[in-house]
Amino acid sequence: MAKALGRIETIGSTLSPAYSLRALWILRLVLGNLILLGSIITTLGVSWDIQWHSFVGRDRTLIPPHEMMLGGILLSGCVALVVVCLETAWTRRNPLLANDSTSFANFFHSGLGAYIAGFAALDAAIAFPLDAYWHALYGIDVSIWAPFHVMILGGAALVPLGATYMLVSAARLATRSGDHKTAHLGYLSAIIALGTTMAVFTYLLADSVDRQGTIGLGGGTFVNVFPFLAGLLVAGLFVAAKYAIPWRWAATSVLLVYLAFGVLFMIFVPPATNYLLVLEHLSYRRHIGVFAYLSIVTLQAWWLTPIIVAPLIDLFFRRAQHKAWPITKLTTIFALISLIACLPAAPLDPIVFLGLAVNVGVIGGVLSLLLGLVGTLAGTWFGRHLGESMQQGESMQRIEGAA
Amino acid sequence: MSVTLQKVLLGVGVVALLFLVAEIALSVAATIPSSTPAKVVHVHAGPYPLTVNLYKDPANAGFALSFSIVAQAGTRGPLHFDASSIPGPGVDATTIHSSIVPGANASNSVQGAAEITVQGPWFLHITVTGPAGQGAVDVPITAVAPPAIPQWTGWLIGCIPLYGLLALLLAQRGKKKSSAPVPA
Repeated sequence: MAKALGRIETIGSTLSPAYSLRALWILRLVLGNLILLGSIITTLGVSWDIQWHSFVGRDRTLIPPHEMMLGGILLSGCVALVVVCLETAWTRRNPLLANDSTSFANFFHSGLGAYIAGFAALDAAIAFPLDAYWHALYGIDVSIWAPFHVMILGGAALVPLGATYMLVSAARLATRSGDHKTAHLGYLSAIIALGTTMAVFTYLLADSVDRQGTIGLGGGTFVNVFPFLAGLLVAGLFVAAKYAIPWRWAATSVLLVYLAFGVLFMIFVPPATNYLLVLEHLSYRRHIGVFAYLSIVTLQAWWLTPIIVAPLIDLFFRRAQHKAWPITKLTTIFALISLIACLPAAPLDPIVFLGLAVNVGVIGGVLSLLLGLVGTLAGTWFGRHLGESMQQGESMQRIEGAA
Repeated sequence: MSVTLQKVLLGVGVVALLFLVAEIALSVAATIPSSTPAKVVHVHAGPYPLTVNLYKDPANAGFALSFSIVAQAGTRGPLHFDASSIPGPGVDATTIHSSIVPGANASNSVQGAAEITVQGPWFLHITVTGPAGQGAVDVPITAVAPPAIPQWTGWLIGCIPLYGLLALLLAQRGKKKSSAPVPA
C-alpha cells in the first residue's frame, strides 16, 4: 500500500502537467466509482432494513441490513478521505493541479465531490448511534420520518451526489484531454450516481402519503406535502442531470437507474430476509403472504409517475436548445412537466393519489398541488444550479475565486 | 464559503469522527464482561439450578448486556443453553436472540450478550436442555436510557444533511453568474 502511494506521489511530482491531470481524472473516476459502490450497497441495505422492520421488527443494532448500510457508508467515507488526502498530497507537489481542485480550510485540495461525499458519509455514520439512542427512548416502531432516520438517509443520499460531482469532474477532465471513451464512462457512472441519489431520497417520501404527510391548516382544510417533496426531488435531480451530463437522454437514464433499483430490491430483499429470518431463529410478526417473496419498498414506495416526467424533460430540453428559449420559459415548462410526479402512484396501488385527494378534499387537493408547483419550481431552480456547478466544476471555483 | 467557516466545519467533522470512534469503542466494551458481575441471580430453570451473572445493572438500552450462566455445583450431565431478551409489558420492542459462547472457567457455563434496545422492563429468557429434560426461566432486567432530548432538538440535529444541501446550493449560486439561457 505504502509502495503504491509512493508511486502515485512520484507521478504527481515528476511528470508533465498533462500526465498529472490524467492521473487526477483516473483517480476521480476510479475512486468516485468506489464511493458509488458504497452508496449502492447502502441503498440495498436500506431497502432490506425497511422490509425487516416492517415484517420482523427492529431487534439488535447490528443486524445484517444495518451492517450492510454501515458497510456501504464506511466504504464511501473512507474512500472519500483517501481521495482528499491523495489529491492534497499531489497538489502540494504539483501546484498546477490546484486549478482543478477546491481548497478547503487552507490545507486540503480536492474535488468538491470528495468533500461532499466525506462529510455526508460521516453524517450518516454519526446518525446511527443517535438513532439507537432515539429507539432506546421511544421504542422500535418509529417511522421513517424520525430525526435520525432523516439524518441517516439525508447523509446517505448526499454521498452519491458527491460521487456525481467527482465523476462529472473526471469526465470533464478526460474530455479536455481528448479521451472521449473515458469521459463517456465518467458520465455513465455519474448517471448511476444521480439515480442512486434519487433512490435514497425516495425512501424519505414514503411517509408523506400517510397521515404524517398531511398538515391541518385549520377550518377543516388539509394539505399533503407529498407533491411538494416529490416535485422538489424529481425536478431537482432530472434537471441537474440535464445540465451536468451532455447526453440527449440524461434524465431518462437517471430514471432507468432509479427503476433498476426497484427491480434489484425485488431480486435481493425477499430472499435475503427469508434467509436471515431462519439464521436468526426469528419469525414474521404476522402472516405476510406474498410479501415473503416481494419487496415492500418496490411495491408501495417506488413511485411510477417520474416515468412520464424524465423523457419529457429530455425532449423539452432539446427543443429549448434548438429554439434558444429563455431560462424563465424553460424553468416554467420543467416545473409544469414535473408536476406529474406530484401525483403518487405505486405499483401496488397505482391510484393512491385518488385516496390522497379524498383525504384532503377538493380545496386541500388544489392547495397540495399548488404546493407541488412550488416544489417543482424550487426543484428546477435547484437542479439547474446543481447541474451547472457540476459541469463547471473546479474551474468555476477558480474563476470566481480570482474575481 | 469563508476560510474561517471551513475551519469550523473541519473542527466539527473531527469532533464527530471522535464521537463515532468513542461510540464504537463503548459498543464493543459493552459486550465484554467485567471481572465482577453487577448483579447475581440464583434461579431454577426447571430441574436445573443456575447462577446468572449480569455485568451491568440496570442495563443500558441501546447497548448489549453482558451476562454469564453457570449451572450450580452438583448439576449432572452436559447442558445446552439458549437465551433471548424479551421485552416486558409496555415496551415497544421485539424478542432478540442472544449470542452465547461456552464459558472459559467452568463446565456447564456460558457467556453471552443480550441486546436490550428500548428502555423499560425486560426479561432474559433462558432455556436449558440436559439429561433431566428442558427447563426455562425468565430473569428480570431493567434497562435505562440516557436523559431524553426534546423532539425539536432531535429534529434540529437530524436535519443537518438538509442544511448541508442548502448551504451547498447557496454557495454554488453565489459563485455562479452564468447568463446563458441553455447550454449548447
